[in-house]
Amino acid sequence: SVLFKLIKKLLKLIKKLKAEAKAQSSSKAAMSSHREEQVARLKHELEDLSRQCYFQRLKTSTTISEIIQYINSHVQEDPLLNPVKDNPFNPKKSCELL
Amino acid sequence: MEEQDLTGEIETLKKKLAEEQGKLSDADLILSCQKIEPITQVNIKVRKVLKGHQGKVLCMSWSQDKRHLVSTSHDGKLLVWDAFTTNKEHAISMATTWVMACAYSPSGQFVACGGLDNKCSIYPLLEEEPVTKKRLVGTHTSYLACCQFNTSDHQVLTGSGDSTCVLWDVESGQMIQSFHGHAGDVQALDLSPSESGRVFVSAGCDRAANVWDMRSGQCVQLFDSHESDVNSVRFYPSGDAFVTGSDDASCRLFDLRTDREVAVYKKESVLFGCNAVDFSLSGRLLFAGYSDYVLNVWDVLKAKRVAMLYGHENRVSCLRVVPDGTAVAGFKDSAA
Repeated sequence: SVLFKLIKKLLKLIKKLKAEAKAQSSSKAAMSSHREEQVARLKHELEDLSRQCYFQRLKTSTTISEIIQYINSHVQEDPLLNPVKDNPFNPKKSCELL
Repeated sequence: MEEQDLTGEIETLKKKLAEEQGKLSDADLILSCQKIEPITQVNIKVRKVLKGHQGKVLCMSWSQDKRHLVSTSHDGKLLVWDAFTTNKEHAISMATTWVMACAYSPSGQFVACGGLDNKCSIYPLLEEEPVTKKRLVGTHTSYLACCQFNTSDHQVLTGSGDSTCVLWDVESGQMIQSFHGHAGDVQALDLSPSESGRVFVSAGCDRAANVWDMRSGQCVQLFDSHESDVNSVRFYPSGDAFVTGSDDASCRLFDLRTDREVAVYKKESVLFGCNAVDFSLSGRLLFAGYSDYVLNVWDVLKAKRVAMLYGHENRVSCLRVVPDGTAVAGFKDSAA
């Protein structure tokens, strides 16, 4: 697909840039370390984005219906919505000794 | 001209990513929940007040025993409380002030914490003098913002102002994995309840929430729809989604499996930044603490506020629902 071809092209570009950087550092022309860091950061971001594009997504209609289902099946046991009788945080009734 | 090439390709890919995400966006959470009964009443009262810190409370963590909790403060103290009786069981003085991160270990025997000292240290609670048996777990190049034990007492995950997260081995103090990708200070993190030990989410001052694969160290998903710093992040109980709280005065729900933001919790009258978020046991209620002294309770499925809890004299800096869902503790200064 178009996306797959784009990602392949980008991975090729990354490989080419890595090879160029190696060649450059062995020659006299050296990039300043700041520029190197910047390029490394950009490459990292590019690799991350490529991976994120590839992510196997599900349809929103499917995933949110499951979130709703989860809530509905757990609401009864939710103590802050359906309070339980023995709430351990409830102050105990004091008793006076006469 | 490498940088220009790269920047151009990055822009192209970002557009492509947005397109791909849009293709599967075939439903809206709030619209899908229109027929669901709204929550009419939330009966939550302040039951206990834990007083003891002299400075602002910066972080807190519940023990798995659902009864004890640890809190750390700007005054440099770490306190361990019995929340049923409100007694303080331990008081440890830190070598640094501004202890911004703390975590109770799963066994309940240790607490990990750190802050402006850039370090994450661990204290054994069963010792007579825990402060003498302190052990260094790891060091960052900037402040420690958050930490959590990773499924056992042996590993701790940290997030730092140096924009990285790191997974440490407690015994050896070695770095097991580091996570690079945030473009600003990391402010919060949370481990997945369903993908234990494999997935976590972090959020920070770059307005983004990143989802990480713990084995490879790679960022597998990135959500950057917030308009300002993200201060807090918490997984939804099933692990399929997470919520964030930000300085842009909104909370947002991100659905991991569809790779999108699916709800925004905000109101015109809610103007102040949100500092802390957590879910009730079922995930139906969202508790959010803000800088204007209020704890707003949101109905997750309707994106409507159902209650406002006061009881604090200052901004709510952290809050956590106890593991069995019976209570929520919110800290600023002294009250819980």
